[in-house]
Amino acid sequence: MTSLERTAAALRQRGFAVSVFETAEAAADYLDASIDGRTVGFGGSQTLEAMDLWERLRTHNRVFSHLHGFPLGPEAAGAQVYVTSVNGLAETGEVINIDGIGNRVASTLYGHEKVYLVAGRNKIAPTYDEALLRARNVAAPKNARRKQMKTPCVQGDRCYDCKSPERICRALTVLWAPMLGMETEVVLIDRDLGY
Amino acid sequence: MFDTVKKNLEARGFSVRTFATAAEAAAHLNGAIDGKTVGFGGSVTLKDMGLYELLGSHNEVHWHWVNGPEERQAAMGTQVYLSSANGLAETGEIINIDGSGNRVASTLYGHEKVYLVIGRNKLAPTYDEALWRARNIASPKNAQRLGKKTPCAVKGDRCYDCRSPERICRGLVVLWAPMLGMETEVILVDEDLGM
Repeated sequence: MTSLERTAAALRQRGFAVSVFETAEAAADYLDASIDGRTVGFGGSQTLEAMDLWERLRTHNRVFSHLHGFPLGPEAAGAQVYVTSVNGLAETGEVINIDGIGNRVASTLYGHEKVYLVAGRNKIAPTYDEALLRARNVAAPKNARRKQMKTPCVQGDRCYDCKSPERICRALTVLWAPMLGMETEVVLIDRDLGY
Repeated sequence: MFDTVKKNLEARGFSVRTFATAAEAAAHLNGAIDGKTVGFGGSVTLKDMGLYELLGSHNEVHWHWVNGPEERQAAMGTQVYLSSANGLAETGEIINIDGSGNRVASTLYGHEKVYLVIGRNKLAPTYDEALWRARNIASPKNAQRLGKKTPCAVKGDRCYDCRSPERICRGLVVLWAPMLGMETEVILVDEDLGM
């Protein structure tokens, strides 16, 4: 089995719905066909940007994305559907996110009919510990750099577990299984996407 | 009792207050929260402290334990949110595990201020030990309380990391620091409280 296949099998065993695609285009086609006539919240995600999902979904849904001029707030948090990515994904099926403001991770835990978690193969690591290391030491410093924060990770190559007021790593969330009452589908893509 | 954890929580940016008794902590909260909308997370600590009754006389309170499941949604939009924690490390990490997600989502986003009320029994020396406590002590007790048919509830001794459909341990949330844009106050009580 490939890494992607192992991850998909472990996620399914935990109760997640899983779909797997060769390319970002195929995954975007699938999401574009699946989400129609809904209110949709977007988490801040470079993966979704790279897939042009906002441009595609907005023509036939009401899409709230703070990366496209909408305020962070109740519209995205109260949308029927929520779409975001992840910062790390273990082949054993744990889904890992780290957040500073909290809107993105809160929405993976509560408040929607369905959540889609879109993840490129670069987010996958063999074990939970390695996926957590990836989220902390690879994804989070890149995000801090993108947001031009004054944190030591921006200059360096890893997490310094800083106590900076500009620290964006404030909460870790790990999905061990889909939350009760919220359908959760992981969309795996065999391409490098996002941070 | 709380010197080390208080210092470490404050270094992370949390506000901290310590109390010898639950009654003193309840009096503080009753004085601090007035004329607000207040949401309650499912918590034996809050229930045993009588906070819903105390605060309800001069605030608009929402708790699904008292008024039914639709109150979960109402509690998401309140100015103030109250919850406890399932584990607290002396190094300052605050750990919660949830099944339906409303409680943990509210510790991450959507309120002006969050109070986390934590008895001394939740405290463990390290992050790993506090996580172990949350998984192996708090969660099986909660599964038993909810009458779930999970191995931990039947045997009552430890987490089996089950794949049961009734599993209540679905999302893990670790607060490394207060979320940006949401004041977070930790209330430490030198009594055993909750699960």
